Amino acid sequence: MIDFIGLLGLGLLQAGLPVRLAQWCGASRSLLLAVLLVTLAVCLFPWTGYSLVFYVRGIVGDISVTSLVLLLVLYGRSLFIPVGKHQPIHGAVGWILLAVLLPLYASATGYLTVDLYSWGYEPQWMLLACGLLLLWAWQKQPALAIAWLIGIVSFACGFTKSRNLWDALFDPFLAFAAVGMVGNQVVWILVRLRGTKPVEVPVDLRQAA
Amino acid sequence: MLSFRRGTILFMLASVLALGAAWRPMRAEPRFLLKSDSQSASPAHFETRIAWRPEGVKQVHGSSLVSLPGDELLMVYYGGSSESALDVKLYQARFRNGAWEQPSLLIGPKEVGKATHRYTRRVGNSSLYRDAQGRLHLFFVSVGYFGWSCSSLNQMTSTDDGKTWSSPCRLITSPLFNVSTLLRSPAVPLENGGFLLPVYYELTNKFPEALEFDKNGELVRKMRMTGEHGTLQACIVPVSASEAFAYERNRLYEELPKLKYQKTSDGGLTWTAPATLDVSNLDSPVAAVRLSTDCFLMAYNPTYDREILKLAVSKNGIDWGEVKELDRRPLDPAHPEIEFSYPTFVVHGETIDLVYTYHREGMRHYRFNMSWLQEQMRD
Repeated sequence: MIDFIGLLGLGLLQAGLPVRLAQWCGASRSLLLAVLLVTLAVCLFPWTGYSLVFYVRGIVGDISVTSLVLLLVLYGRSLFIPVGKHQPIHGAVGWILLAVLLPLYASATGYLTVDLYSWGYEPQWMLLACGLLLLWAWQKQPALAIAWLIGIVSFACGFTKSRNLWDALFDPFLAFAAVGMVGNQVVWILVRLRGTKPVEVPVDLRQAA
Repeated sequence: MLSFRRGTILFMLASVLALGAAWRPMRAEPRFLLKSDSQSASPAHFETRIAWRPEGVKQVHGSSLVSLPGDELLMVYYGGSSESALDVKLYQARFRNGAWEQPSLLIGPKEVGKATHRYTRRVGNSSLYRDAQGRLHLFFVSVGYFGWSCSSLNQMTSTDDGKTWSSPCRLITSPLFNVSTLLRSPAVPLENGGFLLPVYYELTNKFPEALEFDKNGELVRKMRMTGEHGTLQACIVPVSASEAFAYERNRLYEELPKLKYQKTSDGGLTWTAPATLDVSNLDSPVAAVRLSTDCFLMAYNPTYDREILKLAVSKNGIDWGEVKELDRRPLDPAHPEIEFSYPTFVVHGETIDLVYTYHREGMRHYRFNMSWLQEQMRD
């Protein structure tokens, strides 16, 4: 069951690109659903003993529960909610994710002497931090808050393959998404700064005096 | 507004419940289970033999060894046309009635891939451990893509001393795509029925780590042994319930070609910074065991090419002296690359078994006892 969820998560991830392409081409919701299901079937079917998902899993491992829930939310939003009603992603989400994940991966690769990942096996302090993250996320990005909450519940119930809380809540794909969000913001800020020229206002010196 | 408040209250309630359910009490400090001292009651005994590679396999390497009831041994190693070839598989050989039986195929990368639902291209180093309940655990590395440094760990178990094995399952030990956890040395038992398995990271930097497993064989804790880089393949040798040495392969041998070691006084939770021993080490793993309160034994390669393998003893685990040269490459230009490497000890009762890679054509097996070792020390 746990393996199936892992495979499904990667299948949904792989289906992201075709579904997005179909969306750009103006496909109807029923066509989007068909693209999603067909892509999932193609990715999960063991064509040569190995399915496409097996090959991807061989390099990236499993996605976190958080990513799985967020993927389901994204697909649900694309399929069932009109574009105008989509809730925008809060500007701080990318920064918060990066603030958590950059130290984690720097630590995991030996660039920090402390091993943050090991905290996830005995996550007393992490759970306190998670409480704060949940509070913040519920105010700013409820979908992320619910995804994290489901991740914590999965960890608590032993539904995750790993006994480490980090693996339930975060993965490198969230880091990639965070880099994308932050990069997007930085680009927009740069574009605005360059695009806004100072407006010359004629000033009557005598009036000013 | 009212529904938002109600939603918020529900979410807060669910969060508190989830966080409470995820709360775990802090695990107690691990305590090493010490084996009883090896005695020297019997007359000196020494024998050696070679467990040859399986038929049709060009090279074998990376053995792990475990002692079984009835004076049996089980050895697992990997073999194929070369160390990193795609035809490399794991083989097991059993030592019974004073001889090594014909090795048999244990598992290959394709079977590992199908069982773990991941593309797997290669298998490599293994580590065998027999737990307090008599269950065998086999840990081994496998790689999907790229080189050995992108390896992950797999675990198999056997309840009939290696006659049959469970399907392998993938251990998750790293947050970054779960890559770069490798192993080489055997696990050490803990008083709570669990065990501590030394592993290492080597993708971007190289440093030793240890994984704690509970009595059910579940991974429950991970410890980084040092933040410094350049040591790996720690061999952990407990000296008391809370103290242990770790002898480590020195990758930075150009700076100082000496063996590195660390010490713990809290069951492996924290370790001293790597220090240097007066034992030559030029990037080769060592095997070490504690035989009694004042006798430690080590097998090591003093040279880079691993063409010599020696035995050394120590009274305190720090000051070592050579007692015997076990193997040396003959001065024969026909065999320029002969190596004797990757030693592994098993101690059971009075008997000490040592196996290591012999020319990559097989595994050399030494069996001796304390009396023989004491004779060598006197000589």
